[in-house]
Amino acid sequence: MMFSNVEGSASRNFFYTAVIWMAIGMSFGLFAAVLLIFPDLVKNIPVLEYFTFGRVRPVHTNLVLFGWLSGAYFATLFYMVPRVCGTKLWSERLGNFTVVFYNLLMTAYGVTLLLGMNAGREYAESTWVLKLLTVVMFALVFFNVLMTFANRKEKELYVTAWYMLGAIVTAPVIYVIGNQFLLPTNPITGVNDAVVNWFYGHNILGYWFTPIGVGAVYYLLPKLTGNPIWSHKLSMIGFWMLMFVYGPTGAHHLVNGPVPYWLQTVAIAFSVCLIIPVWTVLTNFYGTMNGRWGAVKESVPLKFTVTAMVFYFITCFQGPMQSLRSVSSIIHFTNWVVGHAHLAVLGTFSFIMFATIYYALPRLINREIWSAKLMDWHYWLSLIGFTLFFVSLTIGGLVQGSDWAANQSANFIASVINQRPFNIARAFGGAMILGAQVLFIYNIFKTATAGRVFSGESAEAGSIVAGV
Amino acid sequence: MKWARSRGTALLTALLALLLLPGRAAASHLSGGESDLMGIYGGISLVLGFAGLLGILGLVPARWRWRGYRWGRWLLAAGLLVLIGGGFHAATVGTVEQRAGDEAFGRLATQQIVGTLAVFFTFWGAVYYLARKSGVLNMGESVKYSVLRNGDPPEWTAYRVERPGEHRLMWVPVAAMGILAVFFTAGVLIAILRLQPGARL
Repeated sequence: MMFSNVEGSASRNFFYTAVIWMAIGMSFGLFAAVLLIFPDLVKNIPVLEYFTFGRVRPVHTNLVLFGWLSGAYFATLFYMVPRVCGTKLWSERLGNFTVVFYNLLMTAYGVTLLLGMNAGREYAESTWVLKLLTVVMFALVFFNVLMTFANRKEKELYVTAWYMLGAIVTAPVIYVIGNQFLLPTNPITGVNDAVVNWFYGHNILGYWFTPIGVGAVYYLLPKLTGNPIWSHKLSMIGFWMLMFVYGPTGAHHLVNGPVPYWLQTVAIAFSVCLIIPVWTVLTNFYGTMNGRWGAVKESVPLKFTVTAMVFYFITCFQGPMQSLRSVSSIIHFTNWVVGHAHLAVLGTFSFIMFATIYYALPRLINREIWSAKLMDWHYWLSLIGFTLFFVSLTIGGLVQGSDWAANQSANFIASVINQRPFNIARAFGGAMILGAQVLFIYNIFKTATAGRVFSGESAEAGSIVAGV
Repeated sequence: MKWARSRGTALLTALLALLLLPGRAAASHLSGGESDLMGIYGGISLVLGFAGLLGILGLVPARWRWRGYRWGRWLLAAGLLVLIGGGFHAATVGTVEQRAGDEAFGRLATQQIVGTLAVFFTFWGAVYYLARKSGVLNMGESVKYSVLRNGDPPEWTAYRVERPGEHRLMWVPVAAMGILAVFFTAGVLIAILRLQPGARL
């Protein structure tokens, strides 16, 4: 048969291809950052002159969101759901078919966006046909996962299962409604479309990226520390609060804009309420880590997880703050927002996926991670590069907002020139992040081709090494 | 007359009053100038309320549990007071521009918000109800051990015993969060306080 039925192959293949899309997507991101410093870099160079910022930027966002992060999330679903259900994935063959489908789709994303075929909607720039195919891709994954749940042997649902199920139920609703019911004619226009776009744009974060990421943390922490999560009840409060509170927050992207005042106020109120689900996760995180903090020194997956929790808190501290009208009036449309978006997608969820890959891949391919030193380099280079990245964007954003507030027409060009040092710092940080991922991909490649054999006993052997 | 005293009746009555007797409302193309006091009161109220909830449910470290049970309801009450009192205060703070409102627009705006919230609460209420009815909504703590016995071998760090002094590493993420939170808050406050009068926002 054309598609493998080997247990774990679909998850493994999604992990492999997701990291490739990560490298490609981040490369476009770095290129976009460099274009902000040297806008005429590729002017008059054949072919490359078409790689304008307006085309490169959506390639970056779509490939990192749908190519890298969603691909890694599909792999995570295929890894964790069978294990929390006590059964095998319903169909590895279907999963592997989906891998091929996803890779062809991501290629189509990149090519069409570079050709300038852009629907003009944030995080939904792809054309109508590709959106239909994206729904098919999600449906293939979700069907496989739902059938796995239906066949589960473990009757009690662990919190990871709840988060994964929540994502599967809500993400299609968000995607379909937010993309104007996948109609080719875009019947909703103007400001109304902005409302629909940001219903999608923000809630795809809250109902797809957040639940899978947080669900993965709830799976990883007990596996990395040996402690059960501190409180199942608290985790349930957090899950239901997230599902309940996230929906109306989308309009906080339109605060102070020409949308109904009540819509803005509802969005602000619910954005402030998001403090609660985040604090449940952090409380559980600290409770679970109790008595295990020493392990952080020696475990790179745990380092990534702990760091992701810090960035998760910060993202959800910034979010309610920047939804307030007075704060939004300063930072809206500035680089602050770019920094905030990267805190979520890169600092939080990508770091969680790095931890997941370091944990899951050895178990999928029966090989130890090839180089502990490269893991360390990956972590520190990612952390330092990303810190430089978001700090420069945050300060740059505040400078932008202040410049614009002073006098828009006179100072706009000055505000562009003032951003130059921050753009340079951001590009430098981005280069460090990309360099770290290159080391990561090399380590994964060497693990797959030359890693030592991994077995469950190695965990016990590790306990001898640790002096337990 | 039990129905007259039930919470459902009170809720229904309040909803009907809101729909039938809307306040005046007005729209403007201008933005900015409105107070964010309610956002600040809301945040403080949430923190107090959440801490109180943790205390009432006993979801605090063991040595603080008795304090949690004792003070939890007071923290929750304090949170509610801040929210309600803050609402009154925020309502009395004048906006930059007072605009005359009318009932028709007020009715429309009220219907829009009530309709949206009704759909929202109905959907999630139904999901929660179905989850409870199906028996999968287990709030017992036993389920948290299932991930440790699912056959997926843990990392070797799961067997590593914490050495003396290593618990202090917990303060590293706390410090990071604190420093970043102060950094962001200070940055925003400096930007807002440096705004010149008549700034275009």
